[in-house]
Amino acid sequence: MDVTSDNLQELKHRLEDATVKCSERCLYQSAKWAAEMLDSLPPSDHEDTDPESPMEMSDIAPTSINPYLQIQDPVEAALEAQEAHKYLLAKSYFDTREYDRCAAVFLPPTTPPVPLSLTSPNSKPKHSRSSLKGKDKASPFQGSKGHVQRNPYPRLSQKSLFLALYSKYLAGEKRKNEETEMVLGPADGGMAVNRELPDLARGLEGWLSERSSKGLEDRGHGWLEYLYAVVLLKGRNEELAKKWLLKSVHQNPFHWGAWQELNDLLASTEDLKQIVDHLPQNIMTLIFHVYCSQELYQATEDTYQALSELESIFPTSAFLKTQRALLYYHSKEFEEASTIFTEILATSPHRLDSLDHYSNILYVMNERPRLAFVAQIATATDKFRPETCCVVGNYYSLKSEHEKAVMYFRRALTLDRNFLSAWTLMGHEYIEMKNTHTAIESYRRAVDVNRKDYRAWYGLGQAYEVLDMSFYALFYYQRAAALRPYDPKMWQAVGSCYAKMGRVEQSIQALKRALVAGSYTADDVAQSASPGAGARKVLDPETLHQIATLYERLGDDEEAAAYMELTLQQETGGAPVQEENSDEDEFSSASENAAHSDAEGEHSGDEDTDNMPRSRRQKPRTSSFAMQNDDSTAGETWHQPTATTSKARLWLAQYALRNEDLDRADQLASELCQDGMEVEEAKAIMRDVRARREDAG
Amino acid sequence: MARYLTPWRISLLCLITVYTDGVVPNSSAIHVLSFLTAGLFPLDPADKQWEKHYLPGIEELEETLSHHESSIPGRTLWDLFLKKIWSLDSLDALEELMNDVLPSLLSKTREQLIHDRDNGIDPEEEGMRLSRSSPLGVFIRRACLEYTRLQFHDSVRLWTGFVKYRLPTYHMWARRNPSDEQSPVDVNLAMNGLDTNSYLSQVVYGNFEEEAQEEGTVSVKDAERLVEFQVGELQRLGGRVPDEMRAQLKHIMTSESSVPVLMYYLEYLDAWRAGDYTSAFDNLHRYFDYTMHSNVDRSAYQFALLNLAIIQADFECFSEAISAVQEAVAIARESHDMNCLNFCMSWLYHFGKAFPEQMREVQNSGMLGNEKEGLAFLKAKSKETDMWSLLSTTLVSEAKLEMQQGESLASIIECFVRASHVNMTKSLSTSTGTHMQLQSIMYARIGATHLSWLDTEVFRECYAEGSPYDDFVRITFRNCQILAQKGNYKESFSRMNKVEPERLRAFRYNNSWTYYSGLLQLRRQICRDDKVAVEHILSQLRAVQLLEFDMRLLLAFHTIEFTIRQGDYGRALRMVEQAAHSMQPENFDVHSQIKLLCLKARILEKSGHPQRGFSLAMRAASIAHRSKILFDLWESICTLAAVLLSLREFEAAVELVESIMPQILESEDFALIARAYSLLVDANMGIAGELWSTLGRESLPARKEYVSRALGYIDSAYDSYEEIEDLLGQTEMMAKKATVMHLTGDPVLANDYAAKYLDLRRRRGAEV
Repeated sequence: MDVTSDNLQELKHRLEDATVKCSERCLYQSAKWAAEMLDSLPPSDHEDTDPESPMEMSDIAPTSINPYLQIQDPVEAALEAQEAHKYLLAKSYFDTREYDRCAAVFLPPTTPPVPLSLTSPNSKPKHSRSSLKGKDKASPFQGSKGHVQRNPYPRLSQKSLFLALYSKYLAGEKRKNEETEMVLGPADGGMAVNRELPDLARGLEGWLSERSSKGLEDRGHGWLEYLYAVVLLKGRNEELAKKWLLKSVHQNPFHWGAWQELNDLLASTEDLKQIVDHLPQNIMTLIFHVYCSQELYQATEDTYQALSELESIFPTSAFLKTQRALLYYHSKEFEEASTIFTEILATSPHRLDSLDHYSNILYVMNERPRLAFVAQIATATDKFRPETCCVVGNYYSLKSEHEKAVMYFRRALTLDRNFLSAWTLMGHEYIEMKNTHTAIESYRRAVDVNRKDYRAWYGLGQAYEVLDMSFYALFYYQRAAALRPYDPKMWQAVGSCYAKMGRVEQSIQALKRALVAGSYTADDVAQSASPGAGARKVLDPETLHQIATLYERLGDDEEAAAYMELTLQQETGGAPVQEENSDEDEFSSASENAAHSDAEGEHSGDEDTDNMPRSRRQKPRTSSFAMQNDDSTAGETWHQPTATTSKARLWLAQYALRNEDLDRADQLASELCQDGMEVEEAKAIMRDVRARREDAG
Repeated sequence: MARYLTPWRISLLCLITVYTDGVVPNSSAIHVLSFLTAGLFPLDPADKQWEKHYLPGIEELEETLSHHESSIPGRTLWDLFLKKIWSLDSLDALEELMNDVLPSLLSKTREQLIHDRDNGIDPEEEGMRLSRSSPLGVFIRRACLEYTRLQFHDSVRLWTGFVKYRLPTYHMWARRNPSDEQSPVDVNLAMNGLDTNSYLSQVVYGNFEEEAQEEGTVSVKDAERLVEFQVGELQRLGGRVPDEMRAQLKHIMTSESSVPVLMYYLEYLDAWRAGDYTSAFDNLHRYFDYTMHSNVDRSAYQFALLNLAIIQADFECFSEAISAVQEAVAIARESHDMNCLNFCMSWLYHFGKAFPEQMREVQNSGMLGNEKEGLAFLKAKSKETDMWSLLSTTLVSEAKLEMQQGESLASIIECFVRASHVNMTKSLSTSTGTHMQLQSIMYARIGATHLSWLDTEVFRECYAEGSPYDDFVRITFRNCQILAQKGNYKESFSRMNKVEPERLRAFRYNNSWTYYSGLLQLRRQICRDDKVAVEHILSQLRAVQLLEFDMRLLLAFHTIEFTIRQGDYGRALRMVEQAAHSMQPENFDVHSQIKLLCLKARILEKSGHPQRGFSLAMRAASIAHRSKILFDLWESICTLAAVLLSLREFEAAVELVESIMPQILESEDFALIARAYSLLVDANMGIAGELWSTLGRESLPARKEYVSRALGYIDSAYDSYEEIEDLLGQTEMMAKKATVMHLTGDPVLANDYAAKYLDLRRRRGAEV
């Protein structure tokens, strides 16, 4: 994207305008975001010529006057001027967190007729932070359906009306919080309701329909539309919410909160593709696109390219850097991700946003000292931020102090009920503590907060697998696999689930998919890894062995033998047979290791925490599988003869014996003896071979 | 304030790991271990360097360790220790130390051993393992437990504190280990290529250049240790909190939210000693209120009541005190708390001795039985419950009681010996003071003044350091009293003044010290016949409200003595009667009784009715003889001799006095000696006079002999009077001498002595 200095200047003005307007409306998070972006723009030439008096400069230079700061709409301007004092009063009430009082400044309590509450007054409370991101169930009202609402509000400027309604909304949220029970306590059903919502929805609907009937539909500023969308979202009316959000981002593109809400609405890349055409064409859309892709785990070239473009415009933006790091994280390039986060920390150590992701990365990399240090940094800034609590929780989790970890995740959730990663991580901890039922609840909450969190889906699957409820587990694994189609681990889980349910063919299919996915990420070449073509590729021996055993179960010995051979071929270096594969060493990658370590569900934990994003020791699963390998460290030494390959070799030897291929059997058995694995069995085979030869001879 | 873990405790843990690494040679092990234990155990007052061992800084560690070679050649223990503390390069390393390294130093529990055996893990035999219940093991376990309890931000604070704590040693360590040089703060900073001045480091660790804040160096535990130590000292010595310590404690109290509750007890003790009734009361109640939660079963209620009783009594709210202690006794009985019951009984006994009139009610209720029964009860019970100091005090009390009632000397001494045995075998230093004091009094009563003197000296030499200030002041007085008897006023005053003001900071001790010094002064001024001074001192002493009966009596004796010297016999007689009335059966003392009898006899003698004093003197002598109070016996015999003189029984008087003269001399009381000599003078002159009247001129040689004997005695008496600066006695002697000279017909010498007499009179006048 080519950015001229005029464009840049305009961008600056727009961001400045957005910051001012957001903070005027007390949308602090969006204001912060806009201000950060503004700050990360490169300074234009004529502004830093006189650093001592930038104010005077802007007074003198007419170009510096921000054209967007003036109110465009004369009607609104008049109204705002009229209400200036009242607005100040309301704003100060808002700032002192007296939301009801703030709302009452503009909306006298008599104005809206008391609505018949549609929600049960006894409904269970649920916590949410003041950011407008939470989604609750149990708001049964349905927005525009039914009769048309009248506008219940007095004639106010949009700014004041927004502030009043927003504070009303927050007052409802606050009361909801006050009713909230302890996190995952006995009375914590997650069924809390903001009781202001029906009222707000009706009122806003009335207001907006009045506007449209007056033909003023296009002259909205986007704020009230946004608020209406948020209210609708709380009522689970997502389609309508999406519509209003789109309207809002058209009218007010620099309001990041609206984009974020929109992002939360998109469950998949298809949704994103659908919506792209309806989006305005500006830089915010680009940022949104990058953000969305990141959230949807689309670590593709396009995303990287778009991100690079953006970074050329906003060279120092920590937000964009974080997005890049997260993209690296999704594509499992942990080192790079970690480096970026380290840089961000060094330049702005007080920034806590996304530090929880950084801690996840360090967790996966098993970098305990660094994780401790990050936790230390976060604690030094604010120990009562959900991010901090997550980092600390992760640290304790890495130290296997699960009770403490849970305590910190709980704290994070007490601070913010909608803090996604805390729910998921807490689920992991409960799995560790063998409290499967709580784990399931925890994961379920995570999924309720954000349906795009594959880790939570996967966790749910695991939990059900532990409980021997394969059917459920399968469902959840499939959801996870749908979110991460190129993650072999998901497919392996699906495959093993099928295997347990006795649906062997489907299991084989799933495992083959895992093979494909594993090799795909390894080689970056989209190529089907059929058994024949696999000679040039590194495949996961565990999965191969698993497929082979499944074929054996089907009675298809030839296929089984073929896969066993393939398993054996993955072994290089130590084994003399597979010289032709020795050049494949460099293709070994973290994901490969990860894939195989999970394949049989027998992993000893340590090896897969090295490699898998947030995968945990899954000791509970050990008992749930018929096929058991010993706890060898197959992951680290996959090119050496491992337990899996030895098993394959043993199987092949026995197979050869059955097929009277005595030489081959003897050779394989002697290899086994050399490797020092399955020695007893191998010796038995060799004795058998000798006996038969003597018989023959 | 941290609960327990502080940077210096971490460094001690590091030192323990150095120790368990086995690199500490046997010769140094004892130093290392004693340093460790000094830091871990409650503060020991016997430790002269306790300030150093309380919160040891890194400098103390260096001082201790750098002199000791380790088993690794060329490295001192200090080097190894430095290496250890600098191997903790990040918060994670600290976590690892606390969670993995330290528990592995402990010997395995039974469960662990069984677990290992079941899982086929062979017991490994490498390294030294600490027993779980050894002091070091307990310390490690406590530290680990406390660390587990820490929240993350607390462990961060601990880590930051530790970083600052060890920072001064960075250069030392870096010089010795140039190969593995790292950032002086955190390896994570170094990895990012940041130094301590970077923004990130400032955020995480704050500013290192700033004056190191004291935050986090003191834990609640340390504060408790300090307060416990102070309370112990206060209770043991009965002093007050020194000023510097007060400032320190105040700092602790104001800076931290979690003040140890014992602090209020300390404040109470301090206020009590300072004589500040209101705040003592206030603080005591505050302490009770704060300890209530740990006292759900009222197990400390009786002790609280006892404390209340003591403080009430100290501030002379006797009825309150008695009701409190009665309640305490009732509760203690109810809850079978023998310890408290014994303390209560003991206190009640002493209280009854001191304030018999307050105790009437209790006595009448028959709760206590008589004194003997009370003591027998206490003796039996204290032996039963192993309360040795109570046993010792009870034995001494028994001795005192028997002494006062004039009972068998043998049983008194037996009591003393038994008390002394208990003191020695159970190494009780606090009760030695009372024991020594009473023993010294006992010796004085049987006339063995040198032994009495010896006792006080032994105490001053050997026990003065660790004994209660109360006893110290008393014994010093006793010591000075003996000095004053010998006429060594100067020394006695200087000794009295040498008592450190530190020991007199408690109001009560200061009071008694003033009183004692006043008494000594009074005695001297009475001797010097300085009326103005005496009256001045008397008025001052009367203003001091001292609670001890025998001391009040002593003042009464001195006053009577003074009144007699003034020649106001009627008043003196009334005062004697008054003193006799003030004696109750509970505080009855044979010594005082004899003394009063003697005084009365003397007054009668002086007022010209010597014969009326005869029966009194006889009674005094017989009582003294019966109860073997020899010193008083000599005095009453002197009084008797004076009566005999007035009956013109000169021979008998001479015989009497001469027969006891060696013992009188032995008693080293120059007042008595002078008096005995002057009696001898009178008796001899009397004999000479009788000879003259019966035989006339023939008796000259014999008469001359008696006269010269009298002259000799006059000189001796004069010397003795001079010794104690008794002007009145001196003038009397001079007058007598002049008269004798005049009678023997030596006018020149008579004139001389008369001139001397006038001179003495003048001196007296001049001083008046």
